[in-house]
Amino acid sequence: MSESIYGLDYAVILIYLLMLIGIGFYVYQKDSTYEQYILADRMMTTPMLISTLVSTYYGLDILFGSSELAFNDGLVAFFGYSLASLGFYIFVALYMTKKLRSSNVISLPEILEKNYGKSTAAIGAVGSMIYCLPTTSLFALGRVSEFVFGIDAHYGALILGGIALGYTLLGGLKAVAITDTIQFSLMCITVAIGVPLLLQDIGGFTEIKRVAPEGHFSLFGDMPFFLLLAYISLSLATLIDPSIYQRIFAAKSFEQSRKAILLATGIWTAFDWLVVAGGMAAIVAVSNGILPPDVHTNDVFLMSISYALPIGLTGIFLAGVLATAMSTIDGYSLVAGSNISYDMYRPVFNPDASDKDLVRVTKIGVACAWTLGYIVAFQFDRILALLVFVTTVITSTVFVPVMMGLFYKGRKTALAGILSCSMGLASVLVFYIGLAQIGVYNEVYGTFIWSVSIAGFTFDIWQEYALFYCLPISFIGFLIGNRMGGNYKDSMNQAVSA
Amino acid sequence: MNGWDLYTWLNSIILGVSGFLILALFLRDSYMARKKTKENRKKDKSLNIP
Repeated sequence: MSESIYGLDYAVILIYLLMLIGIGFYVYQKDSTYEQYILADRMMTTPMLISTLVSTYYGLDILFGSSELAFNDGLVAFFGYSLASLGFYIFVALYMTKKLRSSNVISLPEILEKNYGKSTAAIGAVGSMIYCLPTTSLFALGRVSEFVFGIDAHYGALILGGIALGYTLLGGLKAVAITDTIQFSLMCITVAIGVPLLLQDIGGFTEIKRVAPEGHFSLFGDMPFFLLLAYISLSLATLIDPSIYQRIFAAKSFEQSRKAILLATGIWTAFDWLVVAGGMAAIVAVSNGILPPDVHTNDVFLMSISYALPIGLTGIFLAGVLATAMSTIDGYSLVAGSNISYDMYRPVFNPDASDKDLVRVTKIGVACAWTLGYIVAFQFDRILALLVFVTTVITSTVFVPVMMGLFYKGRKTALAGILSCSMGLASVLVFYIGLAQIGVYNEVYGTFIWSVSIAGFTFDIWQEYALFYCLPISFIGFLIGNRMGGNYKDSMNQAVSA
Repeated sequence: MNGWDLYTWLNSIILGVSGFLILALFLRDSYMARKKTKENRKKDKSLNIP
């Protein structure tokens, strides 16, 4: 247990956890329909939509990842990585919300089904489900539990993650959205107070500039160029994130979802900067002896803000940190559960499934996704490696067919979807397994690197570069498949009229 | 205090105000929805709708 946490802080955290369970029971509807359960009946208010958008996407992986990157590499964490994601969010708001909302679907694989058929949708659902497993959040929740409660990470993730699972099963998206709103507000307020207090304590950016290594104030840092490009490329996942799609489908109208995403992007920008500033301030906190010199770089933000905040507010901040993880666990588990029920069970096993069946199978799917996420979470040592892998899987699998489905007006064949999805997914697996066999593990960066010499030049191929190869392979699959067979939509129209 | 500190303060204000506003609007919406549900229930009772 941390020395900077007091009894009052623990009381605040306990009240907060009890409140979450209460919300699950409060919104529980025994006979809810599938749309009520998974899309909150498409009746979410704008504040709820903004909160659930921001808090679901902002998991502890981003909170820890951005502050860790800022601690190690400086401003590049904001200017090199965060801004790219924010740019893609603006693109989603301006150019995709209307197309997505008017497509009248309720999941990402259903977009694939409409454009390429059920086989593509099934492969896309597998990619989406892998991405939505709450692996990184459960892993991070375990680490926070160790810091806050002093309990083993496995038990911490089991208990706190279990609470998130409980209210998600009871109340569906409505419970998730209500808890996300409260969680989001807590996090905003405490981070907004904590970071300036921390900066004041350590002497502000003047002191950071004096203590931090030179490259920390270079906008794009000292990171290898292709590694930076690889991290930026991961932001492409923003354009096909199943949980963001679910929120757009759950909005009352596309205008509401557009407004919510644009407002959320403004809040994300502020939040991102404060996390980066907090990570950089921790450099001074370590040099001043406020934080131990051997502090884990993942924990610098958590520890330094807990130090800076007064008693009581620390409890609210830590509740907010737990909330950050729990809101990601609940949101993504719900999407993974709906992938299992709506995108796999319904088309493959029971095309005439009733609403009641779908809600029941979704709940089973949520529990399965959570359990799978828990099992996988503790098989990895590094959260960032896991995050890169799952993001590469979904981007390589569905990015090309979804974008072509939404923006390309020419003919699209069923085989184009199948080849694009399957070649993309297979190439990720081949790349990862292959590189682990022929590459060498780099202890500094915690990744596999394969050095290959061609014509006297040496090229380093990192595990993080997977997307550079897999995304073009998915596109080639689309082009090859699109030359064979007729337009899928035409054949469907003919089948309907016949 | 330099430019980065000022930028941090600006973002703190944006984030803090957003947090309060979202919470306030959410509570207002929830209260209005609850009030409406109660009124509808009363109406249903007075019209003898089960």
